Amino acid sequence: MPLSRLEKALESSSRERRFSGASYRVRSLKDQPFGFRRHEKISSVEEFISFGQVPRQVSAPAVVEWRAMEDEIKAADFVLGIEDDSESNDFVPYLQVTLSRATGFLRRLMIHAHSSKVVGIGVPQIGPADSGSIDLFWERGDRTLLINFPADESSATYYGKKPKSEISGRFDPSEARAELVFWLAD
Amino acid sequence: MSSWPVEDIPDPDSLFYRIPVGQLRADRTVAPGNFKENKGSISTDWDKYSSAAQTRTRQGGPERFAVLRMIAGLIREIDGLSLSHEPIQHVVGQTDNRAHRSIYGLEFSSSTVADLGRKLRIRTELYKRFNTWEIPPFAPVD
Repeated sequence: MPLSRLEKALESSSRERRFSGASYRVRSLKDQPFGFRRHEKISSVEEFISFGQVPRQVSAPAVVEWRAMEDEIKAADFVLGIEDDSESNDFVPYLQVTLSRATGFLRRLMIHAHSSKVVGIGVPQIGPADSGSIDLFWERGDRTLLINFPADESSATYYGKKPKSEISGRFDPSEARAELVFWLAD
Repeated sequence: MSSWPVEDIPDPDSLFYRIPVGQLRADRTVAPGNFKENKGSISTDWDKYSSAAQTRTRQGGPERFAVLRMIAGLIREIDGLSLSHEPIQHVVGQTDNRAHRSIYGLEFSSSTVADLGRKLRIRTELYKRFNTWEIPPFAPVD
């Protein structure tokens, strides 16, 4: 019986984690001067997918989309410099840990999409919201998806709308939520 | 105590909403995260008693702000939001402001499953209706 798209994504995602250890890899011991293991952050989708024991073909559009996402993540650093504007009496600063929670989730989501051959979910805007929280916001034609990552470690919340379909809920930001990929792409 | 009467706002009337430019992305576009409460409501000015330029200037440092125009009837269309005319007069630490209008309902404490995406829904709805600047960021100050 053929696997559904969601099942394929989940299966391939767990295989990625097993073989490559999330988005980090370990250099082999012989490459290191004193035999230390060195963990290097993987910086591109080609590198992520080609590393490990299951080489994959990465389409050019996927590479372009990944790079656009990395550009947006880089640009989002501006939130860390936002100061109290004296408009609010309950200003909460934007922290690197909150931004990393949001961008880490975004990278995992994109990896899920590309590893299951879903290209074109688009790159969300990353921006500041209330109380030190950070938003990811997709707007593609008549569909929107807004995900909010709070400043504390509580659950992220989301709301999406497209014709004849609305979704909302909350989740642990360390998860990848493959179903959101398909909701965006469907 | 304000001597100004509380008035109803007609649906076609406008409200001006001030946003600090320091909270905008590099492309200076409006985002759902720009809609947020301050002291329990979203604070705006009614165009019957305020211009957009006056709203921009009200806190001082007008160059630090951009202004959105919001339409009362379109705000009322959003499930959960309501408008209230709350003129400010003779309040210690605050400048008198007959135009002051509050939008209530963005924040709402609830843990029910149905309400999980409520605030995000409202922010999305506000963004979809009001995403064009009345006074853009870094516009010259009058």
